[in-house]
This record gives sequence, C-alpha cells and structure tokens, in this order.
Amino acid sequence: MRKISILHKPAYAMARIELSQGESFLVEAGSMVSKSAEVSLTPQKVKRARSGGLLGAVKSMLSGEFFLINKAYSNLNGHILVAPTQIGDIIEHTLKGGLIIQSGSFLGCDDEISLDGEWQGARSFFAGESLFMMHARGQGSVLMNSFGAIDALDLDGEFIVDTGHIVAFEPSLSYSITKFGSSWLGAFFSGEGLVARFSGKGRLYTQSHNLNAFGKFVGSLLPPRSS
Amino acid sequence: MSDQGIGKGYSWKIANRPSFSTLQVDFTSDGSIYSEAGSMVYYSNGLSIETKLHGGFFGALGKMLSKESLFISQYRATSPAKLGLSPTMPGDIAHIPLIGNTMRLSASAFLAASEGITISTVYGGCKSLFGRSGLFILEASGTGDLFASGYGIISEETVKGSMTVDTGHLVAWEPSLTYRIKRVGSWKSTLLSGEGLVVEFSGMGKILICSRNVSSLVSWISPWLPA
Repeated sequence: MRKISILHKPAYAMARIELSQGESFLVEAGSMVSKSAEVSLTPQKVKRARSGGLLGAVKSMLSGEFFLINKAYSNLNGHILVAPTQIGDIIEHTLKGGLIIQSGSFLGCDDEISLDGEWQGARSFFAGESLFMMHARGQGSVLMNSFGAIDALDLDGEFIVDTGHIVAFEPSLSYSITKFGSSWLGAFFSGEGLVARFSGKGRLYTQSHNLNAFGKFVGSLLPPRSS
Repeated sequence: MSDQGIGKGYSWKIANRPSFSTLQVDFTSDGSIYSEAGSMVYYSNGLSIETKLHGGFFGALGKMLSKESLFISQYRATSPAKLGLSPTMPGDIAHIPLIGNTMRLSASAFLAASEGITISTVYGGCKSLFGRSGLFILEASGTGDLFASGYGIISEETVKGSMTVDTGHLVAWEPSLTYRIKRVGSWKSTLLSGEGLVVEFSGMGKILICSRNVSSLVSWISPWLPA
C-alpha cells in the first residue's frame, strides 16, 4: 500500500513515498533525492499550455510543448525520496473534484491522477513567466512544494492573492486576474505583480514567499554577465 | 520580541517564524498600515489601497541609489479585513513598538508600520555611496507598531560601550547609540569585494541583527554564473 510521509518540515521538507509491489507514483523531473533498487524511473510527457503572444510561441517551441515528469514504479516493495529545488515546505492534498496547481509547486501525485497542462485559464495567470497552471483530476493525493511556508485557506467569499504566492486552488473557486489596488499607475509602480481575485467556496493554498521577487532582488545585485 | 499584539484598529500576528515569517493583520474597522511596496501576499475586501512615493523626492532618490523600493502601499480598512505581508528574503520579522520614541533601521529592513509612525530617510554619509552593501538609514518615530524584516533570524544585542556590526547584518538600533559607518580595509578592497562596510556603535542601547547577509549570498552566487 502506497504510503507518503513528509520529513523535515517546514524549512527543508522532503517527501518519502513507500510503494508496494507493482505500485507507481508520479514525481517531478529532477526531484529525486534517492530511491531503493526496486524502484525504476521512466519519463512521461505531459502536454502543456502555450504561453501567450509571439514570444510565448517561440518560448514554447524552444522549451517544447510538453513537460516531463517521472513515473516511479516499484517491482517489489521499495521507496523513493523526493525534494523540491527551493527551500520550503511540502503539503499533501487529497483530491476532491480536482485541483489547479501552479507548475512550480507540483512535486508529485498518485499515478491514478490525470494531469492537464493545457488548462484553459492558464494564459492569464503569468504574463511572460515560464510558469503555467495545470489541472489535476481523479482519485488520490497530490504533493506540492512551496517557497517558504504553505497556508491552506478555506475561502468563502472574496479574497485577493498576489499571483506569485499562489500554490494551488480548487476549481470550485472562480477568479479574475486584476491589478493591485485601485489605479494602474499605482499597480505598475508598487512592485506588486498581478493579483488573482477569488470568489466562491473552496480551498486555496498560498506560499509565504515569492520566488520571482526573490530572484529579481538577488539577480539585481549580481554582476553583469561578461558576454 | 512578541509574535502577536493589538494596535489601533487592528490585531497582528507574525506567522511561521523564524524562517518564513509573514505578518498577518486583522483590521477591525478603521485601522491603517503602510508597507514596503511589493510585500503584499494577500488581502480581503474591505481595504482601500493607495501606492505612493516614499519620503518625497529626495528620500526616493536615496532609496533608488540603495536599490530599495521607491514606493509604499497604504492600506486603510473601511470594514473588517485581512492583510498578509512578507519580506522578499526568507527570514524573520521583528515587532518594534514605538511610544513616542525613535528607532533607526537599515532601509532594506523596513517592512511595515502603523499610521501613527512617520518614516524619514537619513543621509548615511558619503561612504554609503560606494560598495554594494551601502547603508541607507531610515528613522521611524511616533507611536504605534513598526515591523522590520531580516534575512535569517533576528536577534537582539545590547551595546555597552562599543560594538561593530557588518551593514549586511544590521536591522535596527536605538538612537541612544551613536554610529559611524566605516570601511574595513582599504578603499580598493571595499570596491573590489563589494563588502566591507561596517557600522561602529558606541554608547548604551539595543540593536537588532539578522543572522544572514544578502551581500554574502550575492558574493557566493556570482562566481557560479555562466560566462
């Protein structure tokens, strides 16, 4: 019987997945820390949404129309350890009618779950960023990682979140992508990116820190590349 | 340093200390808080938001030179509302209550303050224009809650006599201390290494320091960049 345990919470979390004979689990490409000899990894392709505009089309041509995940299959009882690239937490979510996950937060899921990287709402979320949203459907558990701490919010009514802080949300929530505050000028200068205005009832996962903001800040202090 | 408290028109809590701290504010009715632009994680309905230039033109110029955010976002509750703020770097948030007194802080450490507090930019001396860890100083005074952030864990030290602190580790200090910004080593080593500015404190008073240094992170990453 497949068993998930999350170790070293919250700053340096790592997930251990135990698999019985013949069981499999999907994990993000590059996330494997270690595995027992019984577990083999096979790459799987998942179709992803094309990002918007000409630049987006070129980008997706370069990066491919697909993203890769690994299927961990155990021919006897075995286990695999997976960890995200960034420091932060891992959370397990049991699917109840689907979940929309920000691609950078996806760490793994049960093999019975179908992943759709061509989710319709994907385009409006991250203009010009390599992130996309994917729709997980089916029965089982999803593992997600966060940059920083992860918060589970059960929304009932309107709530506004910076898109850089979204980990995942249930499709029972409706949303619109909008600007921060009341004026476009303020939104532009404030350094806040786009925000998602959620409404309805459902679960939303947020992360305490913004990976893009972190990259921008540290990147701005780095010396220029000596071309 | 406390983790939660009550201010005028709001209550606040610092969640997920110390690694991934988020300041959570629950506004009752007419509270008001302003924050460094770009720190917003989420908010609910019931807030009016305004983004403005910080400290007027000259203050903004100083902040521009120090690569700090030029803008602040002001949140004013019109009905009960929630707000979440996180600093860019992973780490701690310190609550500094002011009762008509003054606190000085590194410009990069400012996260948020309640309405009763005014912030002004202090000229950090000509040395702050050189080197990447230049120090721009803010002076916070008034009555209310001040929130400072630090990369890593924030701890309090008491100065009796004199103490020298690396600018990259400095968060805040009491104005009873006199300070002098100094180079370590020669001008040449300061400019080449991108570090080496320290603050020499003397007198009696408390300082807040953080356990990690952004400049050190940058110095460490830089050689790993592709050519």
